[in-house]
Amino acid sequence: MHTVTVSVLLAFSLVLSVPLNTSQGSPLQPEETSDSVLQDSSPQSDLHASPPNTPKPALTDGTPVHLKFARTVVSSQVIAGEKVPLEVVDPVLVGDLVAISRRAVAEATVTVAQAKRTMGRGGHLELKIESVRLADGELVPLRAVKDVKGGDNQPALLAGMGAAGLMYWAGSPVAFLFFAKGKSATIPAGTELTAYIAAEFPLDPSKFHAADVIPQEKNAPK
Amino acid sequence: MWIALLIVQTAAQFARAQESTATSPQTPSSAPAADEKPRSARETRERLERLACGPQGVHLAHHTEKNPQPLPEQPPDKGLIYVIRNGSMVGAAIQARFAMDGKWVGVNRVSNYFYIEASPGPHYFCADANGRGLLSLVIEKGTTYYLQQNLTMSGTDLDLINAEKGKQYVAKYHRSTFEEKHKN
Repeated sequence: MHTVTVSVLLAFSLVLSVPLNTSQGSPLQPEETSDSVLQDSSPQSDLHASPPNTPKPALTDGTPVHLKFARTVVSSQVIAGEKVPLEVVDPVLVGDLVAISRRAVAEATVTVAQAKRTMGRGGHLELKIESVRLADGELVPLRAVKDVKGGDNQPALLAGMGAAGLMYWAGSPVAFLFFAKGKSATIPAGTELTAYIAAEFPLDPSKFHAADVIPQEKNAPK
Repeated sequence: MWIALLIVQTAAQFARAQESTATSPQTPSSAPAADEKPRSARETRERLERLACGPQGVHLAHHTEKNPQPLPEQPPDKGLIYVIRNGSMVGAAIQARFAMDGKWVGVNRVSNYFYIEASPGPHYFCADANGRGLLSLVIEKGTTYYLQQNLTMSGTDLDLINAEKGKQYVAKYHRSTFEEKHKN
């Protein structure tokens, strides 16, 4: 048998589609508005009782979402267009509201799939992270990097290392690139990564629960 | 009267069944349903081969354009796919056929290329020479892809290569054309 190094390339690409929430399709909130809400630690009852002019809480563009693969993904066992399930590792809070619950469902789409090739060459697998489900059931789009306007992503290329020596980084504003060494082109179940909310997303406080414990700074965008 | 009605109804059902049987294996842009149970590598390969490769018994008569050929403009609403076979002499006497979504769409010999357009969405590709190389891609509109038919000593691969390398190949290789001929 060949003793070879198999490289697996995974790219998680940006989804530029608009939020699927048609009921909240109003113009996006100004940034100052979202920031002020995020820094507001008033109880949920205050939010419900707020006057009509008070800005709604919003999930801000660039909010990190920690995800993990719900099942093992192998390049020889998937076909482009198929969905791959992920789940949220840490809840995402907006103020004291749980915007995205722990273990909420996120979804990625296989965009390139190739089984291992001849002469001991490895497979090729690329995935595009599509969306994550909010606590109220709505879907919001995700992308690979925090800020698409920055342009210079080189210094922050190495983003992390997952299980089984799987390295990944943001190769461009729109993509995570993943490399894995080994014979199988495999992403083990439980492999973690961080994606970012790709739009400003106003929330209706009446549809979300307050968190019992509020590690707010951990998930709030900087 | 009733018998005639029954005959007409049966004939209509038969026609519908034939139609669905003929078209279902070649649905071009529909993603396979996400299975609850993960497939094995073998099952996946068989499924992809059915989706990607063209029918047996089709011969493609190949022709190489010797003169420089104009390159197409990138269509804004479709993906543009170059299919390249490099200058390697491995399997030089063998035609490398190429199919997309169950239909043969081109053939290359050594140092050839051709191009096709594809609508956005998932597509399934098959390189057929001294073996079959399979690849599936989600095509995005306005994007150019370079696929390489790679014949090796142990089979055929179909690789997605980077644009820089692909452009170099296209610049120095010759465009191929083909004509489909059915064997009797």
